[in-house]
Amino acid sequence: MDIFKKRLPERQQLIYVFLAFAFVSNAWALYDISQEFSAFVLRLSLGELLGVYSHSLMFALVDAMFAFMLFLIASFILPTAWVRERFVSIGTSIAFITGVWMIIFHLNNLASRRNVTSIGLWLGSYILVLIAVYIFIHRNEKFHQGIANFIERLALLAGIYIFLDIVGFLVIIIRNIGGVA
Amino acid sequence: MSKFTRRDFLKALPAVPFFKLAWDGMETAVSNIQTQAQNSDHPNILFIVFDTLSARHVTLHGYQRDTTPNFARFAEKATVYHNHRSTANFTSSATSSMFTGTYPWTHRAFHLHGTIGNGMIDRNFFSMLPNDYHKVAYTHNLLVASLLHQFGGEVDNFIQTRELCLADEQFADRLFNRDYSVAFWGEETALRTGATSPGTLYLSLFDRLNRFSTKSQIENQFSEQYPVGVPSLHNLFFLLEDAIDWIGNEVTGLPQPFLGYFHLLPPHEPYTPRADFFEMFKQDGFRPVEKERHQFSDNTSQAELNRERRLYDEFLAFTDSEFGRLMDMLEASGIMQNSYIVLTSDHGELFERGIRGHVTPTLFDPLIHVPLIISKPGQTGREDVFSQTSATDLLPTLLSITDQPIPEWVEGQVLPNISDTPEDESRITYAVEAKSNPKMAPLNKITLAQVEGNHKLIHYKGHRANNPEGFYELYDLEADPEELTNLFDEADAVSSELKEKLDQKLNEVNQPFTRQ
Repeated sequence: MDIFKKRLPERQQLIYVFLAFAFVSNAWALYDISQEFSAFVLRLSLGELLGVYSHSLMFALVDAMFAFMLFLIASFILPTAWVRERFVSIGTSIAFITGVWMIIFHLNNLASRRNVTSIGLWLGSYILVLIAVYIFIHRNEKFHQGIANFIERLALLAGIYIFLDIVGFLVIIIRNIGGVA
Repeated sequence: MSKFTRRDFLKALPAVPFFKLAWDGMETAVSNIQTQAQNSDHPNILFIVFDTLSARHVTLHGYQRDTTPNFARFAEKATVYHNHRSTANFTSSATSSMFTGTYPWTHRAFHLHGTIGNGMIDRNFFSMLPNDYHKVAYTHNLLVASLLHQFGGEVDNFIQTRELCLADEQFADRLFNRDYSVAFWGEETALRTGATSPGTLYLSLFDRLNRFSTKSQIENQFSEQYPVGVPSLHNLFFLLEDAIDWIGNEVTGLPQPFLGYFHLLPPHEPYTPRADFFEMFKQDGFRPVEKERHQFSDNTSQAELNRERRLYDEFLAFTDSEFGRLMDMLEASGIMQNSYIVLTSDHGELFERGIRGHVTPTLFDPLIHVPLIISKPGQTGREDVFSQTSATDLLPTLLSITDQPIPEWVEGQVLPNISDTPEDESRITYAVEAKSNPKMAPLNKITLAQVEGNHKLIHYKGHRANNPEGFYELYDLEADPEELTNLFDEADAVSSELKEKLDQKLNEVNQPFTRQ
């Protein structure tokens, strides 16, 4: 167990970084489903609409957990000085930068276009921005602190998202226990 | 009460195989009792529904290509309904009409992946047939699966789609079987790219990679057998041969009487004929009638339409050959002697006027004219019915066959030539397209087709914001079966009379949803 204690950051730090991932995933999920609202409202009852939104929120939570776990594993494996010394600011930056680049990926439908140049540009710019921000965090104390403060303030909003995710989970359970058609 | 210890548990372990044997034996005994109890004078009813099968591509109905020799063989000992029409141009709406005996304005499942309105769920042919029927259903089509999920416990044996598939990547029914339709949309919205981007940033990417890998594996495995791809729809991959083998074996072992509803995807797109059917019509010199582009054209070129039509016809020929194989199995089993076999489709497909497929607001005959061929128990000769019939007629016909009363809310009629029902020459049938209309609101954005005698009147209403009343088309189906000449402005008296009836019908069906 010692190895986990040594290599894992403090619980509060873990929570902040998880909330950063949850914020991005939930914000995107809510934006995305709002695009479908006009189509859903034509054919779904209020209960069904609530059900579909609940599923979207649940998926967003799992999405955030998935991305957070990948980051956590990476930080666990990498040397302490690379990530864990400035875990919150690096984790938050990665959550937001990766999230924004993934949004660009989906909005431009890069997976379907299969255009090597577009994907190359997307990937190249992502890596460059990530490296630049990473270096900046390590060299500039103000920047590092700024990000840490930013996620502390954002935590409340992200917490509301998590609360909505839990409500969504309960709605799904109730609909399935009730066997709503 | 004494405590059940770990030692007690270990002592009891050797008895487990005995309980397993005893349980299996009890299950068999109960099953035998059920089988015996279910025997009655009622005939078996077997539905074979091929998705997206237009009667306009069936040789039996005058198509120039020999796409369906086995349908013709089946028709030799069956009743052929020459003017049978679906109630819609896509699956959810049309299949709901078959199940409920009502038009889309009543069952309200007129959206893509739509579901039947709450008040109608219990009014379907699974719930309305006598209790002695053993009811079994299978479908490749997830839109139909949504409807069958709605019927829940009414189907004794609802086989999940994946059971006869090579692969599927759906989770909704595994995790949320009791709220399938909502879970399906949740999953689609979160993981897949449709009209909008997927709702998950990372999981959707992995889902895509997973599906890509599955597809590559399957297509590599079957590339020789299926040169243009393995039959599929979205994430489902299947072999029609597997489904046919399964149905052939299943129906001979079912407790009788049974109602079997088997809804198979071919020849729905993507059109993927097996190697022995691929390019069979390539050099046949057939040139379909070229028609003017419609204002709802999706601008597909004529060359592309002809190519797609050929592939569709080849896929249909393959489908027909598999149906022939099923017929051989059924004949050999003797099941046809005490069974109604119903061969039909939910809707058709269009390759003209710059429109390809069936996702269109139009209701031209290739989209709604579908085959209906019914073999009665022990039928030995062919019979032909030429009067108008509708998909809404299937439920009342089943009720008539099984001596059940036909409720007032049923909008179909008992099919002619079943139970000595005469042909009704004055019959009016309808088809509806209303995907963009709210589910529980008056139908103001709708295409409505009305067929009476030789005439077919189509009203396109509310599709264009600058012309909410839309426009009409009138065709004389006998003189102009290709629907080339719009007579609406010429045939004044007929146009006015039919228009009045159509408008009256629309007002009538909108009444329950109109605020007083």
